[in-house]
Amino acid sequence: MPDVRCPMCSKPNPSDAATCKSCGARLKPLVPGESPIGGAPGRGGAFPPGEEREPGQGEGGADWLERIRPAADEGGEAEHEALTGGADQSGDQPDWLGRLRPAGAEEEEGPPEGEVPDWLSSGEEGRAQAEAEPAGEVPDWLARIRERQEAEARVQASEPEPAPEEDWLGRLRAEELPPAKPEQPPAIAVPPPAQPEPPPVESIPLAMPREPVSRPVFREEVFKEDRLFPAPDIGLEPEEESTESPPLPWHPPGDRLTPSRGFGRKPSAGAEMAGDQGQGEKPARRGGLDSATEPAWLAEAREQADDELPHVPALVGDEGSAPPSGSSADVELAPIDLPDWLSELKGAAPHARPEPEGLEDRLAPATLPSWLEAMRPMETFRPVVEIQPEEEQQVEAAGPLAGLRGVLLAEPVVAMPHQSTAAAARLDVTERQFALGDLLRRLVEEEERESPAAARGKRRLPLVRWAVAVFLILAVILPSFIGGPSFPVPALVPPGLPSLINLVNELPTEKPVLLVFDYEPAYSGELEAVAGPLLEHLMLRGLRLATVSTRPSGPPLAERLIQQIGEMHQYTNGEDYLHLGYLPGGPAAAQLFAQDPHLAVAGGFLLPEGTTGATIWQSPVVRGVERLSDFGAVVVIAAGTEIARTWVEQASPMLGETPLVMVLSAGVEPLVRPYYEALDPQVDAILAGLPAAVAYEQANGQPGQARTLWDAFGSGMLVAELSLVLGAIYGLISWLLRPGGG
Amino acid sequence: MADLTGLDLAGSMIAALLTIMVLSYALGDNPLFRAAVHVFVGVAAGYAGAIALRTVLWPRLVDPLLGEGGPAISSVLVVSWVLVLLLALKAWPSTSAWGSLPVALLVGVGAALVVGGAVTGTLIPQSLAAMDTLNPGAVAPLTGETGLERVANVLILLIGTVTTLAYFQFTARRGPSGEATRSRLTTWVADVGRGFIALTFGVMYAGALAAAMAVLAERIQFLVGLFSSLLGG
Repeated sequence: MPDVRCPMCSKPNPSDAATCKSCGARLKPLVPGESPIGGAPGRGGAFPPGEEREPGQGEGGADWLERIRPAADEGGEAEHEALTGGADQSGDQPDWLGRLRPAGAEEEEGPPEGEVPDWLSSGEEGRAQAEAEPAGEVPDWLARIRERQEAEARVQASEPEPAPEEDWLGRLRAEELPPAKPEQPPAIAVPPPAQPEPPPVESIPLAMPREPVSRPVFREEVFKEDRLFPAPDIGLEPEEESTESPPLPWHPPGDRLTPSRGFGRKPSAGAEMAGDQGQGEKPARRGGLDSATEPAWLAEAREQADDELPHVPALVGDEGSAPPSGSSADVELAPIDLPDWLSELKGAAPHARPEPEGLEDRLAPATLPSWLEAMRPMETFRPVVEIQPEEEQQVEAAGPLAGLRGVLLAEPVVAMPHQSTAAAARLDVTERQFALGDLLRRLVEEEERESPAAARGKRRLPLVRWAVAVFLILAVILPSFIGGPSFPVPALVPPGLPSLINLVNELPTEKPVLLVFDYEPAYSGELEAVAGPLLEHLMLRGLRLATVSTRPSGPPLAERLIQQIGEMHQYTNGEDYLHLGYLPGGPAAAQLFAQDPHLAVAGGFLLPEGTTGATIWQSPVVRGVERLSDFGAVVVIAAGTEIARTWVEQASPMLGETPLVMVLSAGVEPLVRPYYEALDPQVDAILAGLPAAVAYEQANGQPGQARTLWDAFGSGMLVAELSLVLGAIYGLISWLLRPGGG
Repeated sequence: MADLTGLDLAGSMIAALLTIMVLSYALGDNPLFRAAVHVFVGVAAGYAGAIALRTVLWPRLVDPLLGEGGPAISSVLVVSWVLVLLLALKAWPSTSAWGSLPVALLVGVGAALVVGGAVTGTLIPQSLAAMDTLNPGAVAPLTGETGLERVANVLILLIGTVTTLAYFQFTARRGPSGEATRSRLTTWVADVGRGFIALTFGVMYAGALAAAMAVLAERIQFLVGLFSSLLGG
């Protein structure tokens, strides 16, 4: 025979070696029901090595079994009483017995209470006494049992005598019977379960005998040895196992071995061997009738007596310690407080269920009882490692377990994410840091917070504004309708007006006057009235006029004003005046025009016939003008401070002796006057405001638009001043009456 | 008001309507006022665009290319066209960066002109004007003031200038308590300067009020004259 390779260290060993010479691991699997050293196999489990069961020793020589045997006897008597009715009254019967009773009761009724004869309580003697008893004295229930047994006897007589190796079937059938005392009548102990129940979850399918021969059985045996409990070594090579189970003609198809018995009967060959060997020892142990002469019902009753109590599956079996036998263990565990899972397992043990075909080749999933499940540290071991089917399990590639399948891997457990058991480092936050963090949080919350819609206050009618508007409009309209009130012209001439009049009177007539219309149409009502007297003065003197503007709206305004005033003086476009047009560029255009007027002017505005942008400087109006100083005077009509200052800053250095006159709005004058009142004035004359215009008209001797507006302007200013005074008084009174104001 | 016929009458009616719509603001913000403002803004923008195209762009960029003697291409024309095209690239976000060159040129030249003009045309002359002589015998060139009157005006001008500048001096020493406070003298000078500033603003407000009143009077007279003409008055 070839050498046997150790499954643990993979070292070759002789084929007949029981253990590895290198690592000491067992080379031959332990098979339940056989002593590891060739002793008598035990029923329902293996015995510790070196302990042989002797006939006079009862169920075995194990100490634990000896300890529980008295309890088993007592428990057996108690169960016997329960079966005969005593337990029903007391109510102390175990759960498994309660579940078994209905099934037995359906098959056959037991004798009425108190009618069990004495001969029935003792084996063969009772049987002979029963046969000698007259037929008329036999009760009905006993008659039915006898009839059924006679029918069975006839069937057995007609059938061939079972082979010695098939006696294990009898034991299998006996295990399915409810526990009963050996002395109990067969009719009470034999009833099989009526209907198979679904297999329990914890049940382990025992289909290994049907596995093919080529399958490496030694792995499963190693698994059993390492994980469950050591099985007795039967000295068989795994490869020599038979894949065919012995025929079970009478056994229900779905009645499989339960987990409690499965480990002792898992391999069919082993079970068969156990049955062979055990059959030879049973008569000696029992010390009763010979198997040949023993009737079938008594053999069944004896077999049932051997398995009178359900087996309890071993939890973890260590090598070298044998699990307790089914009966003794059950009796020993009865008085103590068993866990739920054990009670359920014990109750479910007699009711084995057929296993699905697909589960026959699989091991049972690793499950834990409820009490053990509750003790698991779930926080540190949350993931549940599921045992995959054997076909999907990986084969260990290295180490002493090389070649084995289903080896528990440490990596999935270690590498799985789980909650750290180490305490997290605490972040020490100072009060300042906490305050800053809280400030940041509040700032963020403030940004995210939606500002509530401003409550719309009660709308108040602007009565004061309406009143002021009405008074102002009435004050402006009344002089136009009723001719009054009439306001006298200013008696005092503005300080700069005489110098302006003198300046205009001294302007040379051969030079044109440049008029810069740099104001918006909104100010035309005021500036036209202010610039009107000056423009009329220029026309009175017959000066040629050239207009320019740094604003697009300037040229039309120039045309409008010159048309209004020049109509009386018969000024015509192209002869007496000319629009040079729009100068784009703002301050740059002003400076460019001051440096080179020809370069700055592009196209002109409303040029007369025959005059274009290129020939605009050939016009008789601006003929001879090459520089800014070639103009007789530069008059800037502006409504804003910036425009006036721009022309002062950009043009004054290029003016030379040419005077610069500012015609300003009344609000701009205070900011331009410093250029006029300096020691080296940059502005030669200022005409600002309607009063100065009216005075200018008076000086010209021709009332114009300024005088037309004077009465309305005067009355409107009066109302405005009164409104300011009244408002100031109201504010003063309110301040005095306010608490703490005075 | 002269006789109104045809287009003049329509223009006067539109002007009167717009005037009334603007004056309706005295009752509060209303759609009539806003409509009139929108019309004014739109007309002003459209007119400005038309003026710029007619009097600037066409004569300076197109006319040289369509001259009778052929295109008169000059360096100024080429540079102008390049700047215009680059500025037009501002219309698209992907090419707007190229338009930054003419914009930078405009801003740079404009800033240089303004700053240079302010220094040479305002800062230095006005500073020299503030250093007027206190000689009572001097005579003002334009107003003809002399004697104590002129000296008083020069002192008022000097005090107003100094105190106003002191008001905008915001540096101060930090006291023992850590609070920055100005000295008592500086505070007093600044208060005087604030008085001059308030007086200046008052004068400006009075001028603005006078200007507005003149405009209001002109508009009211326009409406009165128009309705009088329509009514045959």
